[in-house]
Amino acid sequence: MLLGTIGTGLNLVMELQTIELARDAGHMYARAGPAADFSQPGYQTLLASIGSTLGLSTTAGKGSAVLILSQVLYVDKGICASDGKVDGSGNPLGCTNYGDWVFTQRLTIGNSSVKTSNYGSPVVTGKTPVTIASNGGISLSDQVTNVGDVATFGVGINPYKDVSGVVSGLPSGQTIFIAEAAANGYAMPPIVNNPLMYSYNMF
Amino acid sequence: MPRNFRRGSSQRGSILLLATFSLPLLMVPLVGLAIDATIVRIAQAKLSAAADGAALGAGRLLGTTASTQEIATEFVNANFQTGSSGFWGVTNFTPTVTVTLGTTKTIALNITATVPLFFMRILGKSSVVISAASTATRRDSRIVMVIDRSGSMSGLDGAGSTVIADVISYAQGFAEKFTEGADELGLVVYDGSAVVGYPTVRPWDSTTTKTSTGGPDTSFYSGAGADMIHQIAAIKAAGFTGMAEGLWVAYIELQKAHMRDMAAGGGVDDRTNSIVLFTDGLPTAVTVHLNNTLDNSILSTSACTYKANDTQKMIGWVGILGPPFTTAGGSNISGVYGRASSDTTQTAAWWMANSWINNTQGDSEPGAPVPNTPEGGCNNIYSDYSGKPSSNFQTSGKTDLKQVPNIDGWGNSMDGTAYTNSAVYDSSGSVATPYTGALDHTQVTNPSDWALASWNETDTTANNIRNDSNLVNRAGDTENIMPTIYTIGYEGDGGVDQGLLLRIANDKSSSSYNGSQATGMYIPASNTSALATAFTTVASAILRLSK
Repeated sequence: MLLGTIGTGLNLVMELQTIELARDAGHMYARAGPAADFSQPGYQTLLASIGSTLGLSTTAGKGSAVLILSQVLYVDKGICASDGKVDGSGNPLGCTNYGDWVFTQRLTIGNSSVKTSNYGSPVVTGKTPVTIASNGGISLSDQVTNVGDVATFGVGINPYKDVSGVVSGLPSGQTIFIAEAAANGYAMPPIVNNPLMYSYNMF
Repeated sequence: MPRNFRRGSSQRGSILLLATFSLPLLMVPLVGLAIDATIVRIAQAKLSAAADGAALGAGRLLGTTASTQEIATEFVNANFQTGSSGFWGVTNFTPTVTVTLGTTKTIALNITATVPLFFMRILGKSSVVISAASTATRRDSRIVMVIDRSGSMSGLDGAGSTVIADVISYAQGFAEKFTEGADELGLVVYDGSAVVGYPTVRPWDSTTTKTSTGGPDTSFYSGAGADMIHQIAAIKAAGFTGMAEGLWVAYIELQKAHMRDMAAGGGVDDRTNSIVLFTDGLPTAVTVHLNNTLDNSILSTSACTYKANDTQKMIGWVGILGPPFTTAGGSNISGVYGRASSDTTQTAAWWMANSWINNTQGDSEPGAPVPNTPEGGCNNIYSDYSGKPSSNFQTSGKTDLKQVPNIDGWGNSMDGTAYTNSAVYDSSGSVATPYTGALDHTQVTNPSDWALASWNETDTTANNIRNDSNLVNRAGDTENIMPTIYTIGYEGDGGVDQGLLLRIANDKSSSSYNGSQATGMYIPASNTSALATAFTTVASAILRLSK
């Protein structure tokens, strides 16, 4: 009982830390703009220090936690037009991802094997892979025409989806910033095997 | 002793019994309290995070036609999914959203929820109410787009179109991302000289008082034939690259709107100020004030009577036919031309469709000679292509200039060694360093010295803008407008100077990054697709910062 109590307590604390990591990282990611480029080692070190108690490492594949930062964009007519994928009347033409939410940036910090994103990931393999630049950025061309860049972003987790008709009525280029944090919890086999702490936050 | 021993022996184990029976009575409630408290704390943290996310997410839309209250509620619901695992059976989830409009718009969220308790029910406490609050503000934006329309912009983009056509499309898309009626936008284009394209007020007013005309406004996307979208569409490319003047004219435009809005707002102007610079090349023009008495650049032996007469200013611009700026002699330097912004006869739409070079190749004079009444004695200073006051630099050794000016036509320094930070990248990623040697101001017919001065001019102009150096001259104003500069460099036309564009933006990776100034961003674009991405990235960054 004592061991169970300790284990449960540790996992509850880790869950709390995971929530705070997702919130703090996401807040900075959404708000900082050019003042903070989280693809740069210095900023990743800052994030790793926030998540150090969870085992978040700046080295890819290392540690016991992962932080996934995503920026997703709603592809509307204006976005199609930005890539020249409209007809003479301004209606989408060849704009494959029109009406979808697509990734414009994906940054993964820490051990990506801990958990993959609940929102999917840009498909970087196959005949038409999405190219993710060193800063996590994805080209407008991929955003507009590459189906491998479409995010899994349905009802319930999409803050725009349930608002009646607003997406098409909003200014062009609606963006959502997402932070997901996950960490391996304290295992107590055979009672609790491979516990996973996970939290997300959308800004 | 034996009796005492027996008495002690009969009490042995009583502590163990006491501990055994008291464990459930003491330890379980204590452990339960700890677990319940932690669960409440977790729910509280998730609630706070949900409120934070909703405030920032919906806050970006403040000032638009969207229902931010509705979207904030949706953000909260998406971030805090009651009924799902991990949310501990929270009930009575009640978000309250309050929106306050104005130049600085605020969205405030208060959320309350009830968290069920598991162990504390034993003590009669079955639930606890938690709450979270978050606030976000969005300041309306004031932005001037500065677009390079030099001759190289007519080049092909490798995808069946021209670079200028691409930029027109992307710049229009950029403008449309902002909110008509709330954000203020303006347009400046430059070849050898800069001119304001939107608003279309002519003649252009270079003063920066509360009664100055022009400056970015909120009608940029009104649908009228002279709105900013139409003015962008009219841009034609030709000529040199007067990057510094483009930036400085944009700065003047920002100041005019700031002063106007501050007067209208009772001394308060909360807007963010940004300049978005696009270029496909290196600076190849400088603005000059040749008879500036602080920096007189005309030989005393010149027959020009204006050589030290600052009351009739010899203000114009000089073009350098380069890069690579290595040819000695005057054949690669154009003469002194009038500034496009000084013209009083043509409309803004005319200037979008006609560059200075277009005009000089024709017979129509836009009305900006240097100075207003040229006289024969100054012929060895002025120059142009088609029969205006005759050429000087084009014939080496025939100039009446004694030096490459130390100060440009707007008062910004052209001296120093900032150009040593030059790093020119082309679309293949190769680097060239075209600027070599020291800047020798006496070499007035040497293109490379003018090019070095042009580099310095652009660098110091940007630095002065970021410092809001003209604040001291704005009567009744003590507010530093702290402009943020974003730069986009198209590398496909032979390369751009990444070293310079990083410094102009005060990018974090700039060789001169200054933490006390606004941090901007430089985005290189090696092809048209990357160029489109660059414009959307800058728009996104400004919308983020405006919170």
